[in-house]
Amino acid sequence: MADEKIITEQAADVAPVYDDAAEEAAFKAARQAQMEEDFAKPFDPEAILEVRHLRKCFPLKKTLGGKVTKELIAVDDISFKLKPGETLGIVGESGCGKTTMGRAILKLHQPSGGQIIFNGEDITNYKSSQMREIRKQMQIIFQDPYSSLPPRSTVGGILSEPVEVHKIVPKAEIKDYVLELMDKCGLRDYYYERYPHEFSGGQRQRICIARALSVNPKLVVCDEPVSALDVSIQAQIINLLKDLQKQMNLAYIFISHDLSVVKFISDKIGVMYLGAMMEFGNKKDIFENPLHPYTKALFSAIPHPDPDVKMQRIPLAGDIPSPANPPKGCRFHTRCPYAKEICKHVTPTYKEYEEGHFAACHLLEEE
Amino acid sequence: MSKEKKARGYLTGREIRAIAKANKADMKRLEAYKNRKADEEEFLTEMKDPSNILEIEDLHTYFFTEQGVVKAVNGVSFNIPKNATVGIVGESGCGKSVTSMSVMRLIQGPTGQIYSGSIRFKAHDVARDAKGKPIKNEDGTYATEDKTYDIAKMPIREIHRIRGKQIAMIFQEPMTSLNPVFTIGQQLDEVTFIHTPGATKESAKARSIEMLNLVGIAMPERVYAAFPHELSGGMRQRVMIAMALAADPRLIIADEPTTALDVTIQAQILDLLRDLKDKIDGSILLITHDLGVIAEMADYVVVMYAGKVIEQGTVEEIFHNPLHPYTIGLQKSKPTLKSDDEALFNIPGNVPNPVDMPNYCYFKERCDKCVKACSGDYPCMVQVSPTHYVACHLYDKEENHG
Repeated sequence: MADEKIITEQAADVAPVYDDAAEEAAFKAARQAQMEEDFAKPFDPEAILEVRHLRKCFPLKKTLGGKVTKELIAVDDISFKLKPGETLGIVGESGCGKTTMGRAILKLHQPSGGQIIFNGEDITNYKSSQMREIRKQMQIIFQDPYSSLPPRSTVGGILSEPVEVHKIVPKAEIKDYVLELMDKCGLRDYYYERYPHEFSGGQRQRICIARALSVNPKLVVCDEPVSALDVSIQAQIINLLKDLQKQMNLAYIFISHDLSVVKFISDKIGVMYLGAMMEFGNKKDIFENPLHPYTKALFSAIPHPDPDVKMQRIPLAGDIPSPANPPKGCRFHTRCPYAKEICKHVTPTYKEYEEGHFAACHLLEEE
Repeated sequence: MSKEKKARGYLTGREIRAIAKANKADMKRLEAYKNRKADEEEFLTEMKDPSNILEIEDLHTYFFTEQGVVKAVNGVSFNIPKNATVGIVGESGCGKSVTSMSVMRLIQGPTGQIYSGSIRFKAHDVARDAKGKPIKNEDGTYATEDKTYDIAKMPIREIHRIRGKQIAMIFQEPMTSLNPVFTIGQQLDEVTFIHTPGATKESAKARSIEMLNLVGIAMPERVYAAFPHELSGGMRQRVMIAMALAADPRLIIADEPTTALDVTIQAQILDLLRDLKDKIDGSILLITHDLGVIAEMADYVVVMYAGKVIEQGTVEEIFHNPLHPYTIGLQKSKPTLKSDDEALFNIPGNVPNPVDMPNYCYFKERCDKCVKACSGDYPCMVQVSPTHYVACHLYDKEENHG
């Protein structure tokens, strides 16, 4: 009896023949409709940042006339909201588009589509002169503290420049303001006269944090701020970021490939794969009840610092496909241990499965 | 000189000249010792414990810089038993890579030199007659025998007996360690040509393909003909491992083999290394800063801090009963998926300046459990169980009382 059931199930799996072109057209039409509906919605007054269907493409091939014939979709259709004082953690493997997304939100890359609503303003098509005012409120901390500080300025110079440019305080008070800021970030006052090369990685990262916070921002994008640091220094920097968030009511977008760090600092977590959001939700939901097979596999791949804990690994075969040529259907199907026929042809829709918990997977739809 | 200038490491011209003079004398002596010609008897030795494959005893590796002597490895001792995985863990600059480079004799001279100490390695090498010529069997193959070399005393011209053949190394960055202008096949064959006497083109290729199969590459023929840039990071690291295995080494040194890789690829490579250790019947020296990787892979753990071993023991002892305040702090400061704390524990401060190390415990300034003795001499290694050693004054007191 049981055998029969399995056979019929398998047969049902193989039976449908998918027309790839038609499926893709249907998916695109549905997405277009969804986009138009979402763009017409009023802005959420509570959110500091609202991202709707953000998309960023880079041209790979152009004709002589300048028409783009092939493009790399680095960020594909990403939407989320972020409230003041909240942290959104973004995790994913290298090449999944997490850094591009962070930069597109700050408009360091001009987005190719979608809307970015910051503090109740749609800044997607702002010119650089208009962005100058907004940049006061949104800042970035880069990954490598060794290459992101100018070697020829003193710490005092590095930290006073943004204050002066954006006229945060009158000129006479700049030094006091900077010294106060340095104290907040755990830098001694006599560092003011020193140059970046005199500092260790952890201290430099503190200077980068102080520089980002010198203009009183509301949103800070932290692009892998601790991955270049040692474990004991990493803990110092993460604690500093958390303290500053409480003091200044900052919103963070925390980009990292280290799940345990993201878990520690975030309120919400987004898991990205090949440019698209695979799963998004509150920290508790993501860690206690991961829905997407990719999220589950990521969790199981992390080595646990306890020799007695033997994790049941979900093996992921192979490497990430090239983002220039992503697989058809679900992007993850080439490595997914549970992939079915439908996954190879039909792109899964990104849906809300529990309150505030989104995912894009065919397996969930069946349930 | 003002106190602040001194604190910033400012040196006067006279001091700089004095350092340069002292360095020059040391470097000249050590470089001459390294490049000397020597008979085999000079560097043959005996293992203290025959069940070990590598014994490092009181190893000192120094770098003679313009600011002074950096004691990157300052009296390190540990053993690697047969068929075991030993993990060295520590933060950047603690000397874990320099230790492994010393074993391979890859320290860049003349500034970097093995100053003193011994590295005993049980090699399976060709037998030699009194004149140092290899002994040939009647059928044309070379006779082999087990002998123990002291790697630290070997002249650099003899090191090819061991490097690459008996001890192989897997480096951190697979792209920079593969030559971009040669195919994978050419680079793999080279290992066989150098280390297997009488290898032909065909036998070398067969061996290379066998190795690529062993490390789980799906289409070995295609990868054999490919250039490094055509492969992904995980594939390159597999090729590096295949290259290390090609000469049948007894010991593999893996220096941060997964740091440059994504977590899912890291999991694949770690599984591969674990399988291979049983297949090739060798030992692994794994160097990493990731405590998770150590917990998963190692049988024995060596914790290093500022050029010294501060604690060593089996993996259970180090993770369930860490004794040194640094080991405890390191474990507490790593966020895990299971932990649920508000603030992370952090070790305050930084590693002391490597040129100007204090003569008391190097960890004293960052330690929260200091006792009176900590201001005295550097603590000795204290044995707390047959396999567990720690260098901390908190524990020598117990020993004195007990």
